[in-house]
Amino acid sequence: MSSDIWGYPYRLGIAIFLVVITFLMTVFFVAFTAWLEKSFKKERERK
Amino acid sequence: MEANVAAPAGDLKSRIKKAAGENMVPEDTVLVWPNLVYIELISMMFATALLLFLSLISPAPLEEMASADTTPNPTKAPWYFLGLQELLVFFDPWLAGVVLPTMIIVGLIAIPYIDYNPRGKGYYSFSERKFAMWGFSFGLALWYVLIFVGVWFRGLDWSWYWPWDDWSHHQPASVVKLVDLEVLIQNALGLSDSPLISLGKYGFSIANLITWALFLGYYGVGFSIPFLFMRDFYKKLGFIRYNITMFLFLSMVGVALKMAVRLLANVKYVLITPWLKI
Repeated sequence: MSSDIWGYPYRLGIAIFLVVITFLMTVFFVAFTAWLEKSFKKERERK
Repeated sequence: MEANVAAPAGDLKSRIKKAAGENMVPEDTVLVWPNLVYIELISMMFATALLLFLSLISPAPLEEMASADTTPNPTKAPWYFLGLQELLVFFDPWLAGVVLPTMIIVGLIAIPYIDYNPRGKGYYSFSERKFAMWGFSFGLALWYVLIFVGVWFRGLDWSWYWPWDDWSHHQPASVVKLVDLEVLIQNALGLSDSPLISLGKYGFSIANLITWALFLGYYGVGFSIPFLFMRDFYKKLGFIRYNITMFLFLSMVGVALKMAVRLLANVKYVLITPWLKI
């Protein structure tokens, strides 16, 4: 039972989950800001 | 003076241009009033209407009258405070409830004074403010993740429940025992727990002093790396701004590191001081 690293209290699973979801969300926010910059620049050039 | 007041509105734009210098004002410049304020007013009215509509179709999730005999399990704060409540799992209540929220609020208030980079003013820029964007995005993501966990992954007794778990049953009592870092070091190196240094009624063992060194070393290395290898970054900010920025940034990353250490190495506190436990 104690050798089941995926069993309760799920410490490894929680750690991996938190790292992955935080990383993905950070990248999403950054990608969104980069996309915004690009589209604003395009709009300015079009004008 | 009188002539200025009576000047037609169209002339105002050219006078602003003249005052600011031709190069500073792009051709398509518009005035805040009325161009921006009208849009803001209309957006505000739409947002209010949307909120009114949502409140009509979706009632507030009020529960039965509060009773001391039937306290809910788990007792969850409103969603916007669940990040704080989740922090309590990983940190001492004094830190999670007082110190960290204060640092977050003071840090957010301080941003305009610390970050005086003129790039990105009046236009949107990621490429010219990468550190600010990455740093803020990470902090925001961490905060959202803590809220998500509190809302969707905490069940009875504030235990962790995956969506596929049976949420109506209590999780088994944890077999994992959390240990303080200084105890781990003490056992690993076979050190004595008797105090090496005494400060009034407080004693500091060798293992405790090692945790002090690790803690201060984390900040020391963190402060030194940009200072030594990213001189432009340091010079741009100046001594005071640099130190405040790095302290806030390293503390933010430290929160994530402490959470990782607790989950992966079963460490309860990384540093025990007579005043607070981290």
